[in-house]
Amino acid sequence: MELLTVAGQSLAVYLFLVLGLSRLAWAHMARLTPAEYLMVALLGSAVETALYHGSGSLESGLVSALTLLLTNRAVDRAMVRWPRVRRWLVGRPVVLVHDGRIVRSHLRRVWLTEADLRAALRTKGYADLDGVRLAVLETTGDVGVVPKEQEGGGE
Amino acid sequence: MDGWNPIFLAAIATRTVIVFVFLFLAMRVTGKRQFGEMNVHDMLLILVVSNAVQNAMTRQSPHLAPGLVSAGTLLILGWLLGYVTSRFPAGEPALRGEPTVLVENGRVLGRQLREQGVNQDDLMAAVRNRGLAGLEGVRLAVLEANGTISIVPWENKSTG
Repeated sequence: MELLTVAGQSLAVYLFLVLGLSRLAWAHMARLTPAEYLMVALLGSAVETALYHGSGSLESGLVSALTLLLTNRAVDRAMVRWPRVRRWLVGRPVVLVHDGRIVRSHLRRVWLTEADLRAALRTKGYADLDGVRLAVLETTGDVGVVPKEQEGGGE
Repeated sequence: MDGWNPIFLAAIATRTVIVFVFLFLAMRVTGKRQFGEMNVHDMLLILVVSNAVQNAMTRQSPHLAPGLVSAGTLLILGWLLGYVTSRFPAGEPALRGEPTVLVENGRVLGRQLREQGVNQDDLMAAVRNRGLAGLEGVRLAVLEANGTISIVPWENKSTG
């Protein structure tokens, strides 16, 4: 009987989370940011007690998870509404390569090493700095690369 | 257990908000800028932090402060680790691994592949993902420290 209760609670928790998460704007994105990943992990923690502590703790877990979803939504709204909040929370794009030269002070500011930058450029298909005019660390964590104009012209 | 006692549930909702806001701000202050995919260290830190605050969210009062202190300590440790690896890149390979060249000038370095445990299928998947049909078009393939395979094609990048 107790095991049946556990199974029922697990089902309830799972359905609740699936429905709750599908309401989040970013739930269908391929890549999660740390803040989004934190949300998912926190939801897991919130319902964990509901899964194994027996019948009394189902509601604690659900209330906690629901609160997380609502708070997250409020933060998202605030970022859309007030660009300053967004800028403070996610930062601005940072130029890493300017005119083909590494901007070391900017690299240091975002805690990246030159090795990190080179790896990111390789991922984008550049063997080295040749051919890179501009590289920008976007707020999504992606590195945007603008190639140099083709040299010698004529192509 | 208190069951559907509204005061109890309101208390849980309040704690959850406190925990959420605390973590959100703490991560903002201690976290580094997001760069590419999250690595294993980032994910591990987040999972451990979220476990640390579990009781703070869903249990009665004595658990709130220890959870926040524990989470805060973990985040500070994560900050230290990030700071050290970015300031002293020499120590980085030990923590994060080094990039390994897998293909150079179209030639597959079989020994590197075997040593890194990369199979031909993974490599070719990365090559096709770049829009290339075969290794002929590959100038350089590198297994990055984060586990992804970078493909640099022969042609000048600005065309493709």
